Amino acid sequence: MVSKPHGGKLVNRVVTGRRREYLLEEAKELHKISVGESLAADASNIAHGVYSPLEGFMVYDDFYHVLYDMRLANDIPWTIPIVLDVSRGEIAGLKEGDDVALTFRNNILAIMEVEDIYKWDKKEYCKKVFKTTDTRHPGVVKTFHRKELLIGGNIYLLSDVPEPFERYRLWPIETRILFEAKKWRTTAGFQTRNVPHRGHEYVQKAALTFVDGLFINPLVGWKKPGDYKDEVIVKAYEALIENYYPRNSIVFSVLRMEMRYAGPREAILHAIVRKNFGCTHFIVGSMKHGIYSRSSQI
Amino acid sequence: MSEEKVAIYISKELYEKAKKYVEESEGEFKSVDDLVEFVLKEVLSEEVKEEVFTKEEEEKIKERLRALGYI
Repeated sequence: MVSKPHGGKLVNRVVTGRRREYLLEEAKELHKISVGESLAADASNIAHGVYSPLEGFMVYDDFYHVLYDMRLANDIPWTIPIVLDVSRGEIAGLKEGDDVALTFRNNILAIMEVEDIYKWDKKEYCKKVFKTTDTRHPGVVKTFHRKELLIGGNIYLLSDVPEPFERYRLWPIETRILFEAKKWRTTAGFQTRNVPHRGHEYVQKAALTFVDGLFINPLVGWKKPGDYKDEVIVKAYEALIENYYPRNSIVFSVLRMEMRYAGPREAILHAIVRKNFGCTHFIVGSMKHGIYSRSSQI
Repeated sequence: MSEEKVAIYISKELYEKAKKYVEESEGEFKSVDDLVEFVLKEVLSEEVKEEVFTKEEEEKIKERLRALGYI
């Protein structure tokens, strides 16, 4: 048994076949916005249902409700806005109702139906999401460097983002089929951004005493300076699973998604994401996504 | 599906683009009508598509999972 997707339906906004070809052709004529690696990963995650029930980058109503109520405008719980920031120059001439092509490394990534263009108060965002505006916090710094406007609307994904760990990339529809094939009735999701240590091994093995399977799903992508490199995390888990774990009870897969370092809000977002992958349980580590300064936790 | 037909109106510019697409489709589409029917069917079937995948799609996913050593 796998859990129901968040919001009840697994989103699929990946366009394939002839319709993809048609839209790729159409995209050539559209206004273009170039996005970086983290936003491209967010677009992929939306389209593949990782962020179900989101079908695009958030419009103002959802953004506002998530920021203040930790719910989408339709009342479904959600804790961190998934937004696309743009500069005024990038959207010159673009208006709500238009379609825009999102590009990544000069390739067409997706088409977005622009539903909303709006301003955001970054300081207020940081206060709500990170509970601090201290610029030693990596999420705060990153937010202050983002562009001045947000643009929201549904997307159609036309190309997947290249993944260096392709062998370990699974989408929710795949893990859901996989957990069913393994006949797991219960699956615990384990989120991490670090290499495993003895504490991790303990909680993972403890989880296996009451669930059928464990889904180890480290984040790869942007992290703060000083965090472990993705390659090291993957290699460490390969060794651990190969030598110390009951292999039939483990599924290891990476998720390209940037760390926000947003404490409890991020823990809930990560739990929602693993629910979409089909997990029935989620392990929250100690000091979940905490950030340390030299002397104290921010 | 019923074979009864109705007329719809689209802009001349869009029609010309569709006509060019049909000509370049190497016989895949016989006419603009054919293309319009195909596109509409695709769009409308997507609107009602639920999470449930067909057996074929599921088998394709399982093939990838097997190839990667997950199953």
